[in-house]
Amino acid sequence: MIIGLLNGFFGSGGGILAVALLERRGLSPRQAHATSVALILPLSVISLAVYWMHGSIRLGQGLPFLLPALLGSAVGAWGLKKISAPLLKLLFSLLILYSAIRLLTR
Amino acid sequence: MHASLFSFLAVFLASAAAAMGLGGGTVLLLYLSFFSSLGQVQMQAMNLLLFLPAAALSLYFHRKNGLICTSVLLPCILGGVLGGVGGSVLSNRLDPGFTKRAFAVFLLAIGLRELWLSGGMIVKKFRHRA
Repeated sequence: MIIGLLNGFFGSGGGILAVALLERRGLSPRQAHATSVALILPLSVISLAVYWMHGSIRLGQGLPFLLPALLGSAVGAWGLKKISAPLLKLLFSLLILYSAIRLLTR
Repeated sequence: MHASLFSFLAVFLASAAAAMGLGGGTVLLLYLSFFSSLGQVQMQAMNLLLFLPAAALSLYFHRKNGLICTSVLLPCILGGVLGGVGGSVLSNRLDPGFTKRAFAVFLLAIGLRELWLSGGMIVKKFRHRA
């Protein structure tokens, strides 16, 4: 529930928490990262529906970005198989910390 | 968000990170906050919208590679749906500045935890090799 709450409230971030919680349940880092995507997808659909009902988005706005999103997704899915677990975790943490610092210092 | 090479690249990179479960949505939110004229709530909605096709395609590959643990999904999704509705409704009612700051603090906490854990894994790996 907390994962859904974060994802709906922030429009992001639920997957980040999901990875941490899934690893605590015994999943390997790769499995946790992949399973978090499966978990967040339906939650994002629900949250997006609520945003749409509030008039915060027009669904056609995303159409120009469909192709880069799909290409990036394919590359990412391939990359997840290749990257070692410690490196995956390190990249994950650095990316999040960078985002946090930029948001706080803006 | 205007269509440009720069924005396409941002979406591409964010989608790659999202497919790897690396928090690509966070990257895209950051990009949108610096380079778009969207309000906080609109950015969050756009982020969710762009995540959907990327996630759907990546799931096809992750499933093919046997990386999805289905046993944990259903109970997590059921609770998550309730939380998702509540969170989205709340976000549309609160001050966007507060939401942004709260998100940054949340990211800082998770990022520090993950950095600590990754450091431990790397040290363990080097010790094992030595």
